Amino acid sequence: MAASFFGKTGTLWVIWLALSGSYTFANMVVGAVVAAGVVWINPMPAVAAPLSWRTLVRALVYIPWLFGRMVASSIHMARLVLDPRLPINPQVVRYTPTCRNAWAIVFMANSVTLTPGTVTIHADEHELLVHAIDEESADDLMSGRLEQKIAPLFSSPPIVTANGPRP
Amino acid sequence: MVEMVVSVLMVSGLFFMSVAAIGMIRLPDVFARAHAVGLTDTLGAFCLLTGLALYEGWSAHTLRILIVLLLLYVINPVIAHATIRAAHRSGLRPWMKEPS
Repeated sequence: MAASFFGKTGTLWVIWLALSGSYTFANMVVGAVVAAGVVWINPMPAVAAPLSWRTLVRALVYIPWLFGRMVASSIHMARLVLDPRLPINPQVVRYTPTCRNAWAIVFMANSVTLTPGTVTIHADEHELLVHAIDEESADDLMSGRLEQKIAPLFSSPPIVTANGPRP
Repeated sequence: MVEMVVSVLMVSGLFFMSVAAIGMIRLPDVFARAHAVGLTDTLGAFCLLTGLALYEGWSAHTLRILIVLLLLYVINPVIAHATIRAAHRSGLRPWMKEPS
């Protein structure tokens, strides 16, 4: 407990110093107090991220792809907003992911929200409830292209959900 | 040359932020507005901050700008999702187009 407290505080303190770029004594003390306060208020449970080399290398391919999707849908969204007729057709769709990896589903939910035009309302291991601004955004999600790109980032089973390992 | 790129980036960043503001006013409910807000972080903040990073050249500021950008991309969807989920859980139903 104590060791992890100091470890987390130290990490935050180093980030504080790197970001503030000033190394006066006063700034170091303030940084240490703030870092300790943040760790004290928010203990930040350690989450074991499934970081393998495979995941990292494939993320280098996935992130630029996602960025391209974000730019394309941003332009689509801007066009909708600026259109005098406001041709939106909001809808709520249920997407059932076929992959059974909790991390992949978290990544999917996050990517969906990051893409303008679709926002994740609810996500669990069985479905994503997504609000889409028009048919085009909804169809794009339901085509399953996003999942095809994300699934290879993570090895599929075994997955650990909030209820423990899935059989 | 660099100044040209910086200007283009910053102007398009401001453009997308303005579109997001217009969307906040024009769109009907909290669910639809969340999409418009997404424009500010994806293209708005990205264009503005990369423009700033290019303008500054390679310095300690560049690193800070990149960290801000990275944090934005992680935190913004979380906040959007939290807002939408709260609206959904409190029983708000999304605005739907009248069947014509």
